[in-house]
Amino acid sequence: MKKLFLFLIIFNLFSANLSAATFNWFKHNIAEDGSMEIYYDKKTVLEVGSYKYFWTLGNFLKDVQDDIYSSIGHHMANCDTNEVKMITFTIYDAPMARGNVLLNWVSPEEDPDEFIWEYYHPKDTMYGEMLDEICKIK
Amino acid sequence: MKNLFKKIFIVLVISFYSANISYAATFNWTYASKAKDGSFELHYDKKTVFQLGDKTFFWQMTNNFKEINNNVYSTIIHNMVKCETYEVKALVYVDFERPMGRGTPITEAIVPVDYPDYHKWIYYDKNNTVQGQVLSEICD
Repeated sequence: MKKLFLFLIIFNLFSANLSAATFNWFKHNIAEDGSMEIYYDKKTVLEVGSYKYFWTLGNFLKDVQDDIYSSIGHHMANCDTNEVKMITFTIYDAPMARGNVLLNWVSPEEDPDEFIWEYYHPKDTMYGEMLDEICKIK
Repeated sequence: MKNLFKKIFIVLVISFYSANISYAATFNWTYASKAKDGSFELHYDKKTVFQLGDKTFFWQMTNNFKEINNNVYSTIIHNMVKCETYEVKALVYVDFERPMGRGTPITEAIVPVDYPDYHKWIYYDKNNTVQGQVLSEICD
């Protein structure tokens, strides 16, 4: 018991340090056709002013084009309207955002006209379901 | 003694998991530096520092102490950094009417869209600027 107690204290301290700069992806769902799966990191869900901000990851499982196997994005959500703006995305040539970065894109900078609110139905779309879950995090 | 360890163990397990849950959506600010004239101080959140390729992203918070303009007592900013050159671009900022990012948000902006003139890479010396000291902690 003593050893377990010491282990737990050390583990707590160690994991607190590790959380400083690593994503901890929580798998939300996989598309019905198995083409992709999406994750988000609960500890990055932050309410700042009127919006919620969070990091999300997508793995592309089928019909992989241009060697794009996964992407990470920083998104902002209006939880009152189920709308999202995708601020950044980074594309990787391996699943789970491993491998090489193929593109680092800041949407409002590169293409401000396309930086618009996009609505996702909370029941009919996979992303909308995830958004609904994120918006419920207090 | 055995019972005491058992109780502490149970408390630790519960606190560990509940801490992780409440951890989900709150900033945990780390003080970084203060201006020499005491006009403002900067904090950042370690758990929001993520490196993606050659860019690093993090949330920071400024508390203003002097020359308060438009009732802005604090500002929370999401920054993008090039650690190789100590340059920063602000992506998101939100002004608040109270210190520590509390109170009612006054201004909410996506910098590249709302203030494109301010959306540029700005270099900060890590030894001579307050922002540079934050970058030093983020990048080094």
